[in-house]
Amino acid sequence: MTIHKSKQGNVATVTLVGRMDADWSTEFEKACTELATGADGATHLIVDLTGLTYASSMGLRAFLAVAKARQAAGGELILVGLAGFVKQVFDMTRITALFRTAESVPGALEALA
Amino acid sequence: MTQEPVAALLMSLAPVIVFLLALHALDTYRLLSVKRVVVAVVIGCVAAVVCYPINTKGFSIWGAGFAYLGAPVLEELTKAAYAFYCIGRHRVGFPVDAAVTGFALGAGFSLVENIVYFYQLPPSDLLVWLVRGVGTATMHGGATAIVAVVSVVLFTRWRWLAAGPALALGIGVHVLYNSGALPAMERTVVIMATLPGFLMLVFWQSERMLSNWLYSKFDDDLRTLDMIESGAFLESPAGVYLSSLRGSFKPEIVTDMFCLLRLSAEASAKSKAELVQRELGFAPPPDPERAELLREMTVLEGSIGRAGRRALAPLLPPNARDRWERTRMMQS
Repeated sequence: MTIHKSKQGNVATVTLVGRMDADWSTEFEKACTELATGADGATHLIVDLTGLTYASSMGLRAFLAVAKARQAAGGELILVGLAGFVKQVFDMTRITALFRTAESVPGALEALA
Repeated sequence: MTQEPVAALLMSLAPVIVFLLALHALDTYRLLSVKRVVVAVVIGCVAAVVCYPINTKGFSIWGAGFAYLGAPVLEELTKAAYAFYCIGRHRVGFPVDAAVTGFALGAGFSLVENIVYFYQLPPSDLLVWLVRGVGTATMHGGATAIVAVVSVVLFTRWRWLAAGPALALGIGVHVLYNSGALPAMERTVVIMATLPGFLMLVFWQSERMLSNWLYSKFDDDLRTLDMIESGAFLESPAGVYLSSLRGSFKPEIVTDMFCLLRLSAEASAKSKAELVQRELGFAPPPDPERAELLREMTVLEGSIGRAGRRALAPLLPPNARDRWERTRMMQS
């Protein structure tokens, strides 16, 4: 799996590609924490899941934990490109209802503007 | 009752209530609702009311000696009855919910017992009431929590035989407390210094156990669903086994087995996702599809029959925790 990070102002984008197991869930959480830490840390996070093919239980937990941290910091976590098996799991477990979703990263940025 | 004993009664219950609330608050996954804790307290009160006339009769026949063995046996059995019921009906599945249920039962029992003491025993000063109340309440709560925790841990393997060692431990604590080996103040100090700490230890250990079970089973469910969705299931060892059942069962039964396997993984994943949400402080939204899902599973289980369920056991092993989970889903 790969994690790509970028930041523009108070919005950070994390792109996940591959299968997210327990180890990568920790890496994902760590990446999100890094992006949000410090005086110029991002308030909002956009997570692009277009290339994510699988999320383990710890992966789902990581999304929830990051969303909770963003909420506590007055920000938001927006999921982009939720599709395939990952979307099916999110919908089935009714976790989708806890996030705002967008079709694309520009769409998510627009939603945050 | 004068004002002082009333104050002492309330004060003596305060540490027990605080400990009960602490146990409930530490229950990360919110396994027990406040309503169920209150029900356990009320049932504990009822248990004390039931024991009262029997204890009175016992004292009149065997004298004070009844307090050392007869009363502890009777009281622990009566208090534990509801805990056994909950474990047997899969309403309690982990030491966490067993400890809270047991402690709540004991707290309810001691509430009534302390009120009886206030009426029956000669007036004493506030400190005496307080020491007596705190000690009794902690002992009752702790002893029943031990019975419930030990029962739920051993139940998976021993079934109802688990009640034996569990009750022996609870009765042992009670007998020791009633034995008069220590003066009232020291007895209360010892019970306050040991039982809550022991229960907290059990509690944390159990939370870890629950967390390990939750995430490992959740992953199994997600892997099963992923394999089914991607079409890789039939090549997996589980799929090969299911295919091998075609020789013994009609095709439509094997199809129902496959559907049951899928729905079981889905129901299990839904339930575990809910626990994960609770762990992180989210309130899981109600699931309108849950009732239909459980109904469909019941229909499929009926359709494949007892022999089919037995054949499916290697893939869907019947165990107490899965049944506990299903009971939780049916009730929520």
